[in-house]
Amino acid sequence: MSNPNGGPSAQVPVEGRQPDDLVERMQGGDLDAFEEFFNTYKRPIYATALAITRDPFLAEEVLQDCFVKAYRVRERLDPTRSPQPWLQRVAINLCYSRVSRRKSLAEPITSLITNLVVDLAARPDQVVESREVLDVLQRGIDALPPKQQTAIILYYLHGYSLAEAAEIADCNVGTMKSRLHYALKALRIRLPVERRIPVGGTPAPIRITSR
Amino acid sequence: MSCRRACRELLWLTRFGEFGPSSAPHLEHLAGCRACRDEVGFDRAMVQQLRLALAVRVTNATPSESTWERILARAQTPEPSQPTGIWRWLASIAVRQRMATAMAGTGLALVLALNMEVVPAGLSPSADVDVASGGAAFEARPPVIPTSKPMNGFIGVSDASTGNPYLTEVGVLIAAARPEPTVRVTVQAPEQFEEANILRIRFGSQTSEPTTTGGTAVDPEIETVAPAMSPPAQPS
Repeated sequence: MSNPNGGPSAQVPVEGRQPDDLVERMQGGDLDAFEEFFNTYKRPIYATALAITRDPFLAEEVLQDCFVKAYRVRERLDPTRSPQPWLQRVAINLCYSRVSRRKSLAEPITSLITNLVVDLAARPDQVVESREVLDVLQRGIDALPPKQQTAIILYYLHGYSLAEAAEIADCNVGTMKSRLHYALKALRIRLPVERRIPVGGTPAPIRITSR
Repeated sequence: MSCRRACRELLWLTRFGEFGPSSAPHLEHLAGCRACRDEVGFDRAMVQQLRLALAVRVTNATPSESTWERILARAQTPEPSQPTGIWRWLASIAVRQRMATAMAGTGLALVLALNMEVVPAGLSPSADVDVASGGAAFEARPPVIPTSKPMNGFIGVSDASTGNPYLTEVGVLIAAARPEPTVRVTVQAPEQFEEANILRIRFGSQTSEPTTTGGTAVDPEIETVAPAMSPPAQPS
């Protein structure tokens, strides 16, 4: 199943296929294979952890725990299947257990980066507007329930298909769709009416019909 | 197809790319409805912004160089052994004990929050002094009155015939309380109660060893004065 909304620029690329015997070699105690395994999957796992925790140090802790766990249970990994869904699931669980223990999320550290990411070629008023919209969305993502947050990270950040995201989140495709739907609905509600204008999109103001 | 329904389904279809032959009515509606086009357009723009917001979170998302060394060191360290057998059983007992403590604490908090009366073992609620009925119950389980300290408390009075608890809230004053064995208690009951029905006195503030019991009908050391009253009001 494809991801129809896939925007190439915004996604963390899904790593390529692992070498066929990587898990088998790792199961044989080959540390070089383990290092290769780590290098193959570290980016998407770290991105997931960072997207959830918004704290690079915490994300790195999660990354370490995740791969240490993978090494310790390597005998149980299925060499015929990609370990990535399993790794993602472990990372997501570790993230939420840590975030809930820490009670509150770290202060957003991305505001500075946000300023760099927005299109500086756009008109100044659009840049300001875009920053505001991004800010609202960041807060909205933080406020989502964990399952919906996971859904949008898997689907919109990593670009997993609905089936893949559902496998990682351990639910069926319909449930994944529902989580995405309600996540978008919640984010949409947070956007003030006057900001509901596509940045850089059509100049005509959009009238929101009553629902 | 109503505009609202069409819009809702269009949003679903566009979000998950599920347009197909059965989507023709939706597309037809979309072509002719400006509001729905705006809705769908806004939704797509919001998703685009959402992708950007998520990408900003993981910009330069690369773990530090030392991560691999740390992982390797931890992976080669023997895993701390999990408790087994008797230790696991003991751990489960400890967990249950903690839960029991928490439940007991919750219960106590509820008791305090509901302002419930906790009666000491020597003075259970059934030990009320039933003065008017001759003190049968009183003799069976007599209330206690402190003698070494002034009696400074009163718990209540209830209707002896009906046992209406609301009566415990009204009508009694301790007119004089002295550290001597003789204690004079004056009961001022509301006018709507019969004398026979009000004199169920319960002392619940003993502060020392019980040496004297009380009750007008059976104990001359306590004098209970009740005015003549009209018949009691029936509880609703």
